[in-house]
Amino acid sequence: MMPPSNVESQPGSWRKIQERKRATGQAADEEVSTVSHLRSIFKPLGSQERGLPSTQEDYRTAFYETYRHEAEEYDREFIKKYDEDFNTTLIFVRFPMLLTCECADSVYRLVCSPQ
Amino acid sequence: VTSAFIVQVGSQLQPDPNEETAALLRVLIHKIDNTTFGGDVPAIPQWSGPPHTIVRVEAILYASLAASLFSAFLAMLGKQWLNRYASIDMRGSAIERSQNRQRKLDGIVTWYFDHVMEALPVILQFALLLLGCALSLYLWGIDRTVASVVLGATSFGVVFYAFIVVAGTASVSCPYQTPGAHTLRHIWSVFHSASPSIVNSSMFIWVLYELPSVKIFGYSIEGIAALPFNIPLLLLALAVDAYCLVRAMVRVFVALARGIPRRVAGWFRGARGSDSRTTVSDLRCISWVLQTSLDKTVHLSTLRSLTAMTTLAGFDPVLVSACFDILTGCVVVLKGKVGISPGLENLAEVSALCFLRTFSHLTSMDPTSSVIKDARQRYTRTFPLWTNLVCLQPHLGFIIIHNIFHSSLESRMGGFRRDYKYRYHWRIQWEDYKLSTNKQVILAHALAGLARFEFHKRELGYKVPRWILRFALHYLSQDPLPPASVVTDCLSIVAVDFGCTIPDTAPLNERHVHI
Repeated sequence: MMPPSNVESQPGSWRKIQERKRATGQAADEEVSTVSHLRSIFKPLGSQERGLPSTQEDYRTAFYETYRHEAEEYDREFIKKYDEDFNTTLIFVRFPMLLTCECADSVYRLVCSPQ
Repeated sequence: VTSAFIVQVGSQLQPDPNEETAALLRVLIHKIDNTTFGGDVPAIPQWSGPPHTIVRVEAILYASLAASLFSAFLAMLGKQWLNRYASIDMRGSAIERSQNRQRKLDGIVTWYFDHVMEALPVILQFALLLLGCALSLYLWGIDRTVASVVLGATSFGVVFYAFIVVAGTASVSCPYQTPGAHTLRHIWSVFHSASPSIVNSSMFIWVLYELPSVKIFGYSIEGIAALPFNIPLLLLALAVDAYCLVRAMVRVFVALARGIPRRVAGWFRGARGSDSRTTVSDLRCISWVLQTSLDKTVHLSTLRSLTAMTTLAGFDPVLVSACFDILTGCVVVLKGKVGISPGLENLAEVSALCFLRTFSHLTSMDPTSSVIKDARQRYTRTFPLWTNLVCLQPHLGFIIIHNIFHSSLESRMGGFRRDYKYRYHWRIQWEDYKLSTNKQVILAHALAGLARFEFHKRELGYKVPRWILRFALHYLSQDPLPPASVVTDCLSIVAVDFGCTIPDTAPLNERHVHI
């Protein structure tokens, strides 16, 4: 089913007919037949690439499965490394603080001894 | 770090009440019995502000405290950022989650997370240095023996750190690596690549070596007597060198500064359209896996998904290098002949195909890319013109790559002559190879892209290489015809050879639909 030739001059008319038909339930069969007709026209051209999308999707799924394993392993190492670094920094900040208290005490004694 | 110490030193910033009490007592005693202090009349001391040394010590200590607290603050934030990175903060399929994770990882690289976190220990080391300086300065005014110990320890620490930075910069294999050494090495490599000849073309060194052999009016200008002549020459050479050095440095900094807006724009840039976003995410994931993993099975699975992709829009040029690395990793030299390692034939085939595809895409997108130049250099260095490729004859992809990288050399050596005097250009018998439909599509697209690239060099006397043209003619003469996409590419190769301007064709998927 093709639109009439004067569809450009009367843009609303073809849509109105379709809407009316759809409302009455007649359009469904006609649409199915149109699609099958178009498929039969383009079948020779499309036949050679028909397997591509499914293959692509299969490869993509397989790749992301591999990716997940690699990412888990990498992230574990990555987080462990930085976590250790941060812990070391926090310990290092805490340790000299204690050291400095001791240091300050001894200096205080040194300064105050004449009095 | 220095909070307790600050409290101690800080008390000296205010007038000492004990000292005031003692002065008042002295005045009282003098009033009672004015013979106690002899002729001296005790007076109440006037507070004229804290001593300058104490103020300086206090300032350095506060800087040290701020630095160490800042590093602790950064470490605490870093822990939070890591938790956020590790958490799965979205719903969706496994693929969407993987893409989200890759986006976060790319963000870590783009926003220099590594560099910021590497600055943590540097800040702490700086805080420690400040503490050492403050202690030395403070103790110097109290007791020089104690101060010299602290000063000695601090100086030793500084000298030792400077030594390991220099050692780490000079040698990559040195185990005492520091962030400073890493930065210095990076600056040096940038500077060296920007002006590789600056060291070799030093005027000062030239004058120094050539001076004894230079003769003025038949007299050699050497010896102490000629010193007044030599010094201005050497100074002039030094000035020329300094000018060259400053000019090179300014160029490097200008290049870096020009790159900043592009880099900053890259932080906030996002792909438009859901399709291109998906493709870009897929390509980033592929690129990351190829660069991270060393497993051949993982490489094979990843490269297969790359061959199945319909478009490479928004791809990272690093992908070309990654494919090239994998391909060269499959090659082994046995008894002077180049061959593929046993068991890696599939990987070699797929990686060659992926390399061809990505390389062709990059040449059409950015013909002057440094990645292309680098790949060409590495290939011609590893597999020179006289490489024996007899064992690689069944591996079409490798032979094509060899021809691509050596074709420009051959054209320079006398064009594509029929007699093949320089028999380094492998003649491919296309009818000997039975290619699957998918491979035909990818190969035709890649070769058409390369033919278009050659077109840009037509003014220099280049033509489409004959082996690419033979590919087009072979597939156009087949009955039945190959897929419509291959026919289009073959026709575009022929058209380019005739001198037509062919715009970049649509990606594979669109052509599958439209043709």
